[in-house]
Amino acid sequence: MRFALTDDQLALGSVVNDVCAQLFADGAVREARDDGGALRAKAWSTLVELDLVGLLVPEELGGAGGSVTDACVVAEVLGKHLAPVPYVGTAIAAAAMLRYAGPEQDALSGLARGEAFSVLLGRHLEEPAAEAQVAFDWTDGARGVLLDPDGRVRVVDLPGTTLLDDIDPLHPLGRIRPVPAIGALEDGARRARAIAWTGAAALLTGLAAGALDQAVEYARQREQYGRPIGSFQAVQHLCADMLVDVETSRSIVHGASWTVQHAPVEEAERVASAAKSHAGAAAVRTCESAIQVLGGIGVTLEHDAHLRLRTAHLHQAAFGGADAPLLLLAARALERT
Amino acid sequence: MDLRDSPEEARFRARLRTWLAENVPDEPEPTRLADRWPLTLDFQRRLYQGGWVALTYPVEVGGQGLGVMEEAILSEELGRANAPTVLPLSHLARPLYTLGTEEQKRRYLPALLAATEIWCQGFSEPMAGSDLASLRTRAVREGDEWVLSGHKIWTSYGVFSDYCLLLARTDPGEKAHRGISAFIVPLDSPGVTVRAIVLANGDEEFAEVYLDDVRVPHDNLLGRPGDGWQVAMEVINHERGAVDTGYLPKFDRYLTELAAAVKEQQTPVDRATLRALGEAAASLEVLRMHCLRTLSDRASGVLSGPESSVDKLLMTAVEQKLTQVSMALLTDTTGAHRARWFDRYLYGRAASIYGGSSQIQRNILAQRRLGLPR
Ligand SMILES: Cc1cc2nc3c(=O)[nH]c(=O)nc-3n(C[C@H](O)[C@H](O)[C@H](O)COP(=O)(O)OP(=O)(O)OC[C@H]3O[C@@H](n4cnc5c(N)ncnc54)[C@H](O)[C@@H]3O)c2cc1C
Repeated sequence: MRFALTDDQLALGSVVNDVCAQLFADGAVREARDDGGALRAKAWSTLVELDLVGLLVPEELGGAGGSVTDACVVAEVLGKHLAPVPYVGTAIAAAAMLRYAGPEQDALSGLARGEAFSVLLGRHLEEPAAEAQVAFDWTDGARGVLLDPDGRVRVVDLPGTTLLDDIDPLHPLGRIRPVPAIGALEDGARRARAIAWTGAAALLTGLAAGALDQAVEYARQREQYGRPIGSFQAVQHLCADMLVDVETSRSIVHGASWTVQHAPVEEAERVASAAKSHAGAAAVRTCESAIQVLGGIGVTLEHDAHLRLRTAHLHQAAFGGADAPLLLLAARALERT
Repeated sequence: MDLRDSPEEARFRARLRTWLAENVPDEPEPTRLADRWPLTLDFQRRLYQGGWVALTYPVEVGGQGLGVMEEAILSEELGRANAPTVLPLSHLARPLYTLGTEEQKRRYLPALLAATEIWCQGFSEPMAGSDLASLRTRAVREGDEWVLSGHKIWTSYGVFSDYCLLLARTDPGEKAHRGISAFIVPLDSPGVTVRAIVLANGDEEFAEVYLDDVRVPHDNLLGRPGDGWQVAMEVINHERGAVDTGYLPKFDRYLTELAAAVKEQQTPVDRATLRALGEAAASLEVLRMHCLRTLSDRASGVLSGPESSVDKLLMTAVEQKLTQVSMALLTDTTGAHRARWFDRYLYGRAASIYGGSSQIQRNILAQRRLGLPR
């Protein structure tokens, strides 16, 4: 048993970190809100070139044949930098469905080449009960990935999709013409859902880590009453709680990233549920606290603190709502006897 | 990252499962400490004889000479087997092991680990709680002896103990933590008075210890004069983890018992309560993974100390969430479980006080991990 990330995974994280630092320098993400998708497209093609989009696609299909842990390492760094790319939606959630509920080989190859895919969800971002209505993290021209009423993964074209006016401009939602679709029932689809939850949790962990960094840096510099605000215990304790949220999220995400790929599906679901619900709540709390530490500047349009909070809420709700993992865990706990 | 057992780990786990199947008692564990204590000791001694205690300590001092991941397996399997609570005292062995002389290790460690001699931790005082470094108990050297006088409080298991690992001020001239030393004090020494303090749940779990010119030989000094703070940190860093304290399997058992109680009560559970139960179950999974990470980091030597405050805050959150949700779940006053779970819930309130309160853990993280200014 070895819990730590490998040296390769640490190196992967630091490469992605460097790439993001370049791509998103000087508040580029804030401007991405109304650049017509230019930064998103540029960042995505960089990730495709680096073989990171096809990380979960097997090598024989043109992917990088990486592990879920690798993908989570990437997602966490992207979250920290608030990268406006559909990494969780496409490179993790859609890829996992195409692979584990399929495989849909052609689509997987296309995904690794950078073709756009969007997981289709219900209008509350839940798993569809009978019909999908929303394309998650929509890119123009994307094809939709869903489970058809027989439980098979299917790829559909989405003509006539329009943008919804929702909370997160960095990860748009598409309003699609309703398509028949259901939630995960078979083992493969259930595993894919567990992977999607874990991927979202990894991104959420990164969002929280970035918020913590911002808050701590600010708390060290900003002075009031003649001293740094970081010397006030009330501010210190906010930051300490953020740290606990970040570190514990990291622990469960790393553990889940291995479990969802290698453990029996029941265990995969249980641990992924814990990852998604814990990291989701932790990220929202942490992004809220960061705004508190920043004071007035934290609630301005020009600061990116609100963008973090937006992306955190969206990913906490994605693939089943914030409740689904909690209800799954509660049901499993009550079955324990 | 590979959470599979290695072949040796798998063999260890298989042996352990067989042993647990034969040795875990069927009867549920009594809630009252007085009823539980003899059973706890009995199980602890059996664990020791079975070779399942102090896994990472060398064989010469009563350990098993194994790796830290075996500790994780032990925690997991104790939980799965619904084993009784283990005696949460092994963190007291740490400084004996790292700072003790060969003679001290040989004399004290095996019996401590085997639970044939019970130890307690004499750190806190009436005027020195969070601010431990302000402690006033004094030790004065007289020839080959030290003479101790003072007053300790909140000494867990004090009434059951044979020895106390006690902090006293040996250099009144030195400031705060620099003048403190650690002593091994036999509680049957003349001048020692131990008085029970009753916890809110009725248990006589902790005690006051009065020291009235108590004489101990110089050989009972642990480390050098002035090493007391280091001893305290060694103890406290390990007291803050859910593996060292055996709390991980305990919480696992809590969740299993809670599910059984809910089933027996046959009352439908509303969505808000289900969500709270889900949060409690999630926090337990988080704790499990976080413990694996901590053990893994400990094995590779990358821990520096202050991060144990994350472990402590997490462990506290799990216990408090689990016991809080029990009150929301167990609403049937004609059922058999409410009073028992209320006691656990009350005990859970202590989790954010002992071993350094949650506020103190946050101070440590803010100043020593995040580098925020004092
Ligand atoms: C069940 C239990 C078992 C225990 N077992 C042992 C034992 O075996 N051996 C032993 O030596 N001790 C033991 N203790 C004592 C424990 O370590 C102390 O209770 C603890 O350190 C707090 O000290 P105090 O009770 O004096 O509270 P105080 O230090 O007076 O604290 C009171 C309140 O003030 C807050 N506070 C204090 N200082 C600060 C600060 N700087 N910043 C912010 N908030 C602050 C605290 O967080 C707390 O909320 C035990 C305690 C309990 C409850």
